[in-house]
Amino acid sequence: MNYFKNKLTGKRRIFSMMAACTLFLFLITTNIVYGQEKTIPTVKGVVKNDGGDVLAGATVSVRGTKILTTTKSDGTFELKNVPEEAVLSVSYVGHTRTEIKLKPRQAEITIRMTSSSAVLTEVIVNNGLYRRPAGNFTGAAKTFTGEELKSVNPSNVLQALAVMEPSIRIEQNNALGSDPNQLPIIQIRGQNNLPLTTQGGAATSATPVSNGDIMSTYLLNPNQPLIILDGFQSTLQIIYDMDINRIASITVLKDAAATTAYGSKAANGVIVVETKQPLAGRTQIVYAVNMNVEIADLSSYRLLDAKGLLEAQRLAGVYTDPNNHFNDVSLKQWYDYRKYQVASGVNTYWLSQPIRTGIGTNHSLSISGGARSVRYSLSLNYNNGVGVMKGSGRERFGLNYTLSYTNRSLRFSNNTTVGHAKGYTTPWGSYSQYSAQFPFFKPTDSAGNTIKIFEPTGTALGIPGSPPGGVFTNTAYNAGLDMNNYGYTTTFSNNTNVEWTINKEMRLRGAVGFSNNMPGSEAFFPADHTMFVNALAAGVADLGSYTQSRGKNKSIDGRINFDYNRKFGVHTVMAAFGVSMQATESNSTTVQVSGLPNDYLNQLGMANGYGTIIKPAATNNVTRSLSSYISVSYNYADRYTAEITANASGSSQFGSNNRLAPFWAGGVAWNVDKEKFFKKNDIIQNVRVRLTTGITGNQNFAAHMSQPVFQYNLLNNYRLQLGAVVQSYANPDLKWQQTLKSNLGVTAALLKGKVNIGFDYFTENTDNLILPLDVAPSTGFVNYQDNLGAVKNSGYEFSISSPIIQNRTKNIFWSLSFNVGHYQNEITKLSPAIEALNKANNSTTNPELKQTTPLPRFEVGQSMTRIWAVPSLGIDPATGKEVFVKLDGSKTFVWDPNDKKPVGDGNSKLKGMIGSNFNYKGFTFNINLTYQVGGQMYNQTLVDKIENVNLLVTNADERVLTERWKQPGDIVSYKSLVANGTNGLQQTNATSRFVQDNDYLEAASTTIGYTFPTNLAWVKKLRLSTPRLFITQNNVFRFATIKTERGTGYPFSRSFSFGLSTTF
Amino acid sequence: MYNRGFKFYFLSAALIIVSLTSCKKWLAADPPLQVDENIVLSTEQGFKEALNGVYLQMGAKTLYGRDLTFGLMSVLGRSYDTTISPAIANLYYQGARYNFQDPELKATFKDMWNNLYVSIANLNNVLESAEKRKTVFTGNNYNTIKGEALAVRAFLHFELLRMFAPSPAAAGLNAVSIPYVSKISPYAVPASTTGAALDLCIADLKAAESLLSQTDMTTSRFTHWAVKSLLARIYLYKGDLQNAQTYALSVINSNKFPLITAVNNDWMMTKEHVFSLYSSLNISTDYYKSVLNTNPALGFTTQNQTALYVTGGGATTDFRRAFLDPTTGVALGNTIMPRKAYATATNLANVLPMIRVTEMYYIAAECATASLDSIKATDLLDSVRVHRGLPKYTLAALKTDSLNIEIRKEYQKEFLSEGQMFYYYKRKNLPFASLPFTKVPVVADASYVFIKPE
Repeated sequence: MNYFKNKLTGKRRIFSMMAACTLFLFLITTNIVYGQEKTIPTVKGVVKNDGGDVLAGATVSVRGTKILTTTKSDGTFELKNVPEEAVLSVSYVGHTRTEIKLKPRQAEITIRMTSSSAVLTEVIVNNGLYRRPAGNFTGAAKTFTGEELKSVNPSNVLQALAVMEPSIRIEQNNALGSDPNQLPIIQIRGQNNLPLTTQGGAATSATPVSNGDIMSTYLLNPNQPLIILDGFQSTLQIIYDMDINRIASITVLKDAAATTAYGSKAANGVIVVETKQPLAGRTQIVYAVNMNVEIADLSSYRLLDAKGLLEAQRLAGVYTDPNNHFNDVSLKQWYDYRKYQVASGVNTYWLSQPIRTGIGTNHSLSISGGARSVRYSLSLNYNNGVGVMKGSGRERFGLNYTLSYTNRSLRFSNNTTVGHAKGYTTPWGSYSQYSAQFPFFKPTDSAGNTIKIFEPTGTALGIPGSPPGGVFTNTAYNAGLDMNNYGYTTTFSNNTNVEWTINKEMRLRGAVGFSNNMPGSEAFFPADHTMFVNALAAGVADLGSYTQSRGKNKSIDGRINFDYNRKFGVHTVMAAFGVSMQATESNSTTVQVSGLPNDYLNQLGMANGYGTIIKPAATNNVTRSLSSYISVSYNYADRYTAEITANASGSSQFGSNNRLAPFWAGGVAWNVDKEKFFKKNDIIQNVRVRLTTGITGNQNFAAHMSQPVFQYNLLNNYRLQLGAVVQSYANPDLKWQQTLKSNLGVTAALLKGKVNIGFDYFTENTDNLILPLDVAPSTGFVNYQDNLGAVKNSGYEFSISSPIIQNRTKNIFWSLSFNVGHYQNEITKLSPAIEALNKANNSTTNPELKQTTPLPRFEVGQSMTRIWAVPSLGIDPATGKEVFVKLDGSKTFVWDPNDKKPVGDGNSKLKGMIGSNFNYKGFTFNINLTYQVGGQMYNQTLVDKIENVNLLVTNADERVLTERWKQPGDIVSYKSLVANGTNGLQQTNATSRFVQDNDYLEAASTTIGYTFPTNLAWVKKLRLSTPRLFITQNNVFRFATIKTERGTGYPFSRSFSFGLSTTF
Repeated sequence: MYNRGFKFYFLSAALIIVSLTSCKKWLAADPPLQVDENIVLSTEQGFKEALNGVYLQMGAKTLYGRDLTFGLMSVLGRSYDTTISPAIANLYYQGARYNFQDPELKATFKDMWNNLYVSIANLNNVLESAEKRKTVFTGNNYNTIKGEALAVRAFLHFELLRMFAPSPAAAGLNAVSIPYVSKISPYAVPASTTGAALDLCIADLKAAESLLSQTDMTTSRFTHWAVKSLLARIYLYKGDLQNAQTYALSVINSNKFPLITAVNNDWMMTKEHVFSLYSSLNISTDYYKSVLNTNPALGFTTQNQTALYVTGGGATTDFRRAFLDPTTGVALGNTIMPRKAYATATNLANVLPMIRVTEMYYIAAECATASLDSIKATDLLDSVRVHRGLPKYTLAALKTDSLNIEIRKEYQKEFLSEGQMFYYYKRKNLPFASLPFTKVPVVADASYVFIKPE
């Protein structure tokens, strides 16, 4: 390679020398612009960033020639035979391309590059389909670099994104806590869909499954934004499992102008992830290691100890039976038995039993390099995420290989990604079992063996009756069994991109991508597992179970894009035009068998039979979509920009009469500061106003809603012939949901760049919401899906950032940032079927209905996240009963679901971040605080641990003893103590008493880092170029107005990351 | 350079035009676990499968699989005299009392209504699709499919009308009855009057009559002869006795359904079926066991067995007496089980009779009685009696009133636990006090009209 290069430059040298000799005399006097006729033998230089650090591996080229080099580890470069007054072009990842014209005879130069995120006007917005300079783009979009995100949360890029971007919200899942195998539920600018499963009329909130299936994740979370990875539709799962070091940038597209090119998939916003592309130059090896320590956060638990619980149980009457003397005696004997245990010192802290400090590591290695024409990069990643519950974790392997070839006008690249992720579920079971466990039970016997059944039988103890609460098993026992419980997914994808620069103005790009995602899971529970203790009567043959599932999700994408950019005088026109097609197919099969008596009979085939489940379950989903867009942007004199985007989308999910959907968006922008009337001043330097509006669509619904399908009856036949029936009315007119998005944005730079502000106000009106409509049963159908509802979201995002200190000489940098996002939601139209659902949720006769939690209710004029409960005046000091307010204002002791009123809203009014970023020499200190204000929450864990607590079988909150009503005159917050709070009249149903403000301030991340100076001896010796060490701590503290047991099924954790990265 | 660029612009534009024209096809993806209608109904076999689907649906537990035959409908029709405990089988207890306001009974009615209309919607789908895809059919198959779908649609509507609308005897032909749904749509059809609904049934059946072949003697599907028999049944219900008699006699005189002389353990008398619904053996045994074999153990006492088959015009030689199995009484208290619905090697209990040829004899006899032709009536009844091990009537004994009583008794004996008696009582608007074998008193506001869910 080097030989080749030398030969080329050698040739050129001879040619240039000859040219110089012959023309020297003529040209020396005229001093004309043909600068290439004169050369400077060697131009030496150094490339530094805006912080003054040298940049190694930056590409330096001479414009208009083939002269090219990369900077060495000390940032220096040398160019031979450079034409005089040539323009040097320098590029480096994360920095804006810098072009500097050499002065006559200049042979030494220091080039300073500015990091691209710091420059407001030069940003290129990449919406995944086309790139456009921010000046020619009117949409609301925000880009974050991979480094920025990594510094916030090195182990979870989605959490980092939610910290940085106020429009992104992650639904906090109290039950699943910090389970490493749960995908976050993510949404941009609020929800546009009713949180409703339309089957069977039951409303449930969606939980995404971890299977990487493009369609099913959207079906389960219809508010999920579209995810685009390097130009192709991807899944949240893939981003979640991706090595954070590979991410070059993430762009969040919010309004219609930014997203309409995606047509019917755009309504929930788009997250565009770009990975790092190989750079030309010397082979570069980047290695990053990160150690992640997770520590469970149990501070929210206030459970009773052994003595307290026994006392609470006694007071609640667990150990007495006034109606039956025989039982009474027996229960008292049990009390004595348990009291003896307490007295002998048994007081197990069950909460810590399944908990550990999880130490995980992430290794990331990438090698890239190549000449200008052929470049490559290979990155390898191993991540071992360890959860705080023993045995839980997530292991990921990743390999990514990119090869690109560039010739004069053609660029070809191919990228292969292979990934494998394996998520282990803890054998210890749900964490809630440990918070329920009685502390007067011993986990192990005197010999140290784990106890399976805690208490001896009554017969063994000489007590006539059985123990109150029944037989208690120790779920910790299962941890000692040889069982399997894990899910995994293997992904493979290959993308090919071809880019042809036809001329300076036109570019044609084509891409084909194939991805295959194979999820699976294995769950084996031997007969000895505690879940089978009470099923013993069913017979040994059916004990033990094994569930295996296998899936395959394929998608093929293809697209062609054409870009046209032209500048005539003060006019700039940028046009992009493209067509894309996508076909997805996903299927899965689940087989469950039973009858595996021993833990060494641990294979599917060793099972006795199928038990009660007689056939495998299978799902299959096929979708096809087609989308074409055109987007034209026109800019006049850097002052005015107008942008129009149109899209036509088709999908197999739409009704057969409505297969193609049109979408459009338009936007204008005005750079106020470029106007003549705008006087130069010290306060405002830069103001840009953007206004956009447009329609986008949502197609996150099941395909069969619009297509008539036959279901074959395979259990039965009609005289040995098959029979098939149509089960539901397929609405051939079913349409995509439409969201009209409008956005007004202002960005400004004040005080000479000391303060940068951004403000966006938006409204989103979703129409044609797909809802079930009940029809007369004589039509032969129960209900059908139609475009019936409408919701409205509106809100704003505001961000301010300020580089307070920027002292290059002393090398001190300090910047502060603050952002806030607000949105509110209102239902504007509903179908009568939803009214029926509301009514059903208020039923007093349905025994299946659990009123202990506020049930969803959707009403026009209210938000979708409204909390409906019966207003309460608290506990009557005289009787200990709760006093409710009826709709007519009268007071009552009787809880009636029809008295429910809107008493809160689950959606926080404001959410945002306060951040500080401090750099001194090599040191970095970052802190990001996130906050949420103005929302409410039904404190379910409080109800479940204090009032609706069944003391017969579960442990309770210590307030059971201290703050519950005992005698007339007590002014307390909680009702009187009973043995079984879930029983009948005593049960506490949805009441305003437990609706609490859900405001918090949390230290989302704190990072301390140090970048070693390149001139250190050991750095040089190891040939390292930018060794960096950092410690990130997530969730250090949290101040919240609501005290709940966070992480009921899996505890929340605090994490510390220690990272080291370096380039060779 | 420019030319080159524009060439590509046109090339890509052409590409897009091509893809847009073919995209309609590309966008029609089918979900594989269910089968797209376009695939199922692209062959004749698919249309047959769609009709089979309806027959299978009709075999559901709350429909003909149990409750419209030997289950609830036979409790209402007094085919059993078991004392039913409300704690064990509230549905049948309330049924025996005609307490149609009972929530469980109402829920069952709703289930019947909904599911029968689901079947009707499926038939309408078959009819509409057949109209659109005439080209997939060969020979006479279009007529056969269309005729069969029309006939079953009329059959199901008539069944709904007999359940959910008052009988002409009670409320005339202008009373509000049921919606007659003849096309697929999410919009409800208003309920017709009884007369209009019956006329729509008749119109569909007349159309089917000319479409269906007279030589097809399959009894598991709705054939030409089933159409004729159903017309006789409907005309009788409507009170058009002349047409009823004509159609009944045309079935009898076709000699295609000879009466049997011995049962040979085929208690369902499958050879005499004009239309019967097949259920799979496992399922029918399951359903049978759910009410007859175990609690509530519906059955008949031996005393009433004698009262029904021997006393009066009967005789111990009537082999239908063995519809009830006297050997079972000891095991299950004082009642004995109907043997009909119990499958054995020879008894095809999974063949549920919907229309039997003997009913044609009874319809013709009833019409003859009404036109005071007692000789013809007696003759028709005797034709059946001699095939049941009974002697002929002595002519002098039969007058109009007694003939009608005899016809009712023959219905009772012949159609024991087939679900037909309720319709007989309803058609005759028999006072509730006159219902036979009543163990628990009928409620004060008893009615023959099932409660509509809409």
